[in-house]
Amino acid sequence: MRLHLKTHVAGQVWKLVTQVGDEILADQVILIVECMKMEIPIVSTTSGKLVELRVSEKDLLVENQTVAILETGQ
Amino acid sequence: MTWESDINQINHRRELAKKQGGHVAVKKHHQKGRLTIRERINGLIDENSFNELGEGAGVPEYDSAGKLLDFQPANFVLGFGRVNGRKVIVGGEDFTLKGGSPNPAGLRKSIYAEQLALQYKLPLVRLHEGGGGAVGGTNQEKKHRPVGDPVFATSRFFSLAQTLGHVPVATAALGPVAGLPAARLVASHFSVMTENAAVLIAGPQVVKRALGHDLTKDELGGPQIHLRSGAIDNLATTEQDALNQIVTFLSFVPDNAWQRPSQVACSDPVDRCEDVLKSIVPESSRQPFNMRRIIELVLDKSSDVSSFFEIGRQYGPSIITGLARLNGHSVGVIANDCMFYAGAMTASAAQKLRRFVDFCNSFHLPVLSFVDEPGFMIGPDSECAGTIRHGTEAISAVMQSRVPWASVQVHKAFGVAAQAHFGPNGFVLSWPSAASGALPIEGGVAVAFAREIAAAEDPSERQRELEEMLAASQSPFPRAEGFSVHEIIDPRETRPRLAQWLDLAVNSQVGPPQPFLTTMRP
Repeated sequence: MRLHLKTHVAGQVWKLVTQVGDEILADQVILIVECMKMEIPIVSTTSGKLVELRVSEKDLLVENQTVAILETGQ
Repeated sequence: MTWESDINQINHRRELAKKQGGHVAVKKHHQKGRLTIRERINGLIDENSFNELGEGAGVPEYDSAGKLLDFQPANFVLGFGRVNGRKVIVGGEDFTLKGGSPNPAGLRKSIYAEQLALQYKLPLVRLHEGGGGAVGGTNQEKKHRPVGDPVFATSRFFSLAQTLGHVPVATAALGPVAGLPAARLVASHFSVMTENAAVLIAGPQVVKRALGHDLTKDELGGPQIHLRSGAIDNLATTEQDALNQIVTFLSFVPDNAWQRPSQVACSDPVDRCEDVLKSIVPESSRQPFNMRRIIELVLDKSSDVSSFFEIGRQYGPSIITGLARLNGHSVGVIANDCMFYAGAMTASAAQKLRRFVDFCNSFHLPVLSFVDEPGFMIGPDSECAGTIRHGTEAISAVMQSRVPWASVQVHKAFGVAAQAHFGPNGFVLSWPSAASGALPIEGGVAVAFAREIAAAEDPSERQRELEEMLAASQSPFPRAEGFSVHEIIDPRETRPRLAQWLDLAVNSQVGPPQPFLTTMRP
């Protein structure tokens, strides 16, 4: 199953800390969004393989935007 | 024997009433993965504690000889029960009869639920699944009856509003809930919905006709909509989970507004000092931290399970609200979650806070506030949402609060919004990580010293110098020296300090409690 991982805050992509192809664990940080002068981690809600990163560093994000897609294998 | 045939008929009618919508309708309901209202009530209350009211209300059907053929019960089941030994009033629509849309006796019983709660001053639990009135009215045979309620009748919404100030009300949406039942659902202090529930003002067909949107019930009012809209507080994984959450909620509140919350035995040492607290807030203000972890470390736990019961996590998520225990006392907990816009107060967070503070006041729950408030959320979306009005409303609710209030300044307390975290005559503790001021340094310096920075030889160096200088003034030490906080403490001391204060505060309350004038509204 493909899981769309979304950002819960609007802001700017500060740092990508994973790459496409990585095996991701639940609660693992995928990327960090700078928002209200804080570094907010966007974490995976489940484990799986990162198959797509939809954003790059410095991109502006809106709330609930899909930032990555995980293949969960379920 | 005298009256034997009548007594047999009473028993026969009771049997018929328990058939609800009949075998086929009940089976269909079970196939949808849902329980009947009688199963739900049994899942909520202590075994064999249901004391039903109006089981005999309904519509009988006779043959020409006057023999009872069938009996359609009221499609709202109501009565007294016990939850962990405490008396409550419980009721809910029977979806297997007319999809829960009220039949005449069902409507009378449902409206009576609130009056019953007001009369006996007991917590009210409503388990909802059903639609509102039909366009033709509840009673189709109106030809020879006066139309409408008499002018001297009391509005059915009067008792609905009154209950919120007098007794705790907890509700659940356990299927589609529309119209009047939806209004009753949200007229509560705590509400929960299952994954397959939907809460609707009007259903898909009405919406399509009026607005052209072709949406399913779930798309219109499923949990993904109403946990975020704030209409419903919590999500339940199963119906039993929803009932269990209601039981948990009730464990924190008194029976009514004339009683104080309970103190239960506490096995968690009050002098427990957790080392993790020392370093839980990062030194860099850019790094977020886990506020829920702080709440769990400070408040009571039993067998490693925290007493913290969060309410409304997905709505206005920069503010955390919930119930917990400290040294066995029931308390309301308010905190900021810096993972959401640094914890800034949005319009929805403000409404959540205002509602929660009014609830705590309604049932005399002391408030513990864990502060990390960077200020009102800024920017065009926030302005459009009227955040300044909702935020000031929240502050006003806090200022009119009459319950004991303690604030732990964990991190930031900036701007006007910070005032929403400190109640009147509150006890204030400050962690070394606290920072206070009119606004955070980073934004504030650039604005206040714009000319000076621009005129400097090296503007960015001058800005850095000014920021450093002003950062020192936001430190908690000068505030402690000025007795602007009661004490600056080692974060590990938070639990014992709060517990000592709470014992003093609770024991200082004299006289019988009274209902709070500004009651919570839906």
